[in-house]
Amino acid sequence: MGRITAIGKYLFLESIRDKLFIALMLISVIIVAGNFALDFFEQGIQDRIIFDFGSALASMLGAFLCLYLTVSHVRAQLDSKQAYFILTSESSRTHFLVGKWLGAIAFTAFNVLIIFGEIFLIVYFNSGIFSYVSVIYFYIVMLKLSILCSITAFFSVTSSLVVAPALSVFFYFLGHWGNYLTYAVAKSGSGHYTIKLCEFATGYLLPNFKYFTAEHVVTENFAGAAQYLAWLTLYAVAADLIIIGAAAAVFRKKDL
Amino acid sequence: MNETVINAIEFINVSKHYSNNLNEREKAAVKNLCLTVKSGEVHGFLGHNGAGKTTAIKMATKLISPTSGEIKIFGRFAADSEYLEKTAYIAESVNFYQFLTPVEIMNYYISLNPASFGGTPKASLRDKISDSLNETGLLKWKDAAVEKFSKGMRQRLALALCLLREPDLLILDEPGSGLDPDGISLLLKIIEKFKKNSKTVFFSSHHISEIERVCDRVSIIKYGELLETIDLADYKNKPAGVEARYLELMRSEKSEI
Repeated sequence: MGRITAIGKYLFLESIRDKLFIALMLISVIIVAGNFALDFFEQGIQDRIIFDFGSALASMLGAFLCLYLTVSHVRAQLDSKQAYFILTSESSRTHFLVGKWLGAIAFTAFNVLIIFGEIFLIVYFNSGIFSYVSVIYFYIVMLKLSILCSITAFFSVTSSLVVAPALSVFFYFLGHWGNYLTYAVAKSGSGHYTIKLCEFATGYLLPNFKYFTAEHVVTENFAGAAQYLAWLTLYAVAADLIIIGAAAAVFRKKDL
Repeated sequence: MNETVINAIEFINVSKHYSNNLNEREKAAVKNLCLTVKSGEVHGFLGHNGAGKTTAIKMATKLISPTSGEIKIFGRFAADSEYLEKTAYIAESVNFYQFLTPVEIMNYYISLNPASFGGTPKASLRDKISDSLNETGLLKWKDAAVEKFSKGMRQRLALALCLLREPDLLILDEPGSGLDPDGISLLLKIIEKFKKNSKTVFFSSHHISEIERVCDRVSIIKYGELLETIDLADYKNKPAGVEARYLELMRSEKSEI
C-alpha cells in the first residue's frame, strides 16, 4: 500500500507544479466567476445557471485531466522508459498501475473540488443558500471520473499513445449516449437480437454513465437519496475493480 | 568442504523473438544465450548496435520475458519477483519527473523500495541522500527541478540512486551515453566502488576502453548470439588487447539474420 500511495503522491506533486494545469485551473475558475455577471436574471435562475454551467465545466475539466494524466503517466512513461524507474524497483506492475490511477484521481478531485467549492461559495454569497447539491454532485462526478480513469488506464497499457485517449473518449461518450447508438442500430433496420444486444451492451455490459446524475438525489427523500448514492458508489467501485483488474492482468504479461 | 557458488545472473539457453506485424517473419533478437555473471564480478557486455544487448538486459530485469529458456538471478528463477530487492537497473536513456528535485526523487525511490530501506532511520537516510548527491556532483543542484538538468546530469542522478540503494546486483545499459568525460570517470569510479564492496555489476557498452578499465570478464554478442566470454586477466600482458579480439570476432563469418 505504501508503494501505491507513494506513486500516487509523487504524480500529484509533479502535476500540481505543472504550469499547464495551473493555467487551466485559473481559466476555469475565472469562467465560473464570470457568472456573477448574470445578475439580470432572477436569483433562483441565476443560481441554477451557475450550478449547471459550473458543474458541466468541472465535469469537462475533470474528464480532460483524467484522460491527460493517465495517458501521460502510464502510456507516455512506458514509451519514454520513464516507467522503468518504478518497474525495475521493488514495486510491481500492479503497484505502478494502481498508484498512477490513484494519483490521477486525486489530482482530478483536487481541481474539480476547487470549481465545486467556487460554485458553493457563489451560490452562498448570492442567495445565502447552502448548496448541498454541489457537494453531492462533486461526489457523483468523481465516481464517474474514476471509471473514466480506469478505462484510460486499461487502454494505456493495451494500446498506443494515440489510440488510448481516442478509445477512452469513445467509451466515455458511449457511456453517456449509448441509447442513441441503440436507436441508430434500430433505425438501420437491424434484427431484433442485434438491437437487444446493443441495448444490453450499452446499458449493462459497458460502463453506463447515465446513472451518474444528481437528479435522483434532488427528487428523492433523504433515505432514497442515500440509497441511490450507496448503489452508485458500489457500481463505480465494481466497475473500477473489474477494469483496473483486467488492465493489471494484461499489463503483467506485457513486454515493455 | 565444497561451497556452492551462486551466480548473480544465469541465462540458460535464452531466446527472444519479435514480430512487428502479422506479415513479417519473427526475428530473433537473442538466440540460445547461455551466459553466466558470477557474484562479485564486473561483467561487460559488448556488441554492435542491435546485437541484442538491451533485449538480454531487459529480460534480466523482467521488463520483457524470454520466448524460451530461463534466467536465474542469484539462483532464483526470474519469474519470482523477490530478486528485484537485490537489483538496480539504469536504462540507456534516463527520465525522471520534470518538476521534482533530486532530493524528492530520491525520497520517492526510497518509498518504492521498502525492503532495501525499511527500518533505516530517517536521519541516516537524509545523510545517505546527501552523500550520494555529493559523490555524483549534484549536491548543489539538490533543490533544483530536474527539468533544468542535462542528459548527463540525469544520468548522474540515476547513479546517485544506485549509490543510495547499494544493490547486490547493478545492471547498466549503455551507462556512458550522455556523460561527459568527468561523468564517465565518475561512472567508472562508482563501478569500482561496487566491485570493492563485492557487489556484482553487469553493464553493456560500446566503449572498449571503459570495459577494459573496470571489467573482470566481458561477453561479446553478435546478432543475438554469444560469441565469446573473455577473461580480461588473460589479456593483461598481451600486446593485442580486447579491442583486437573484439574486432576479430566481429569480422568473423557469423551470418546476419
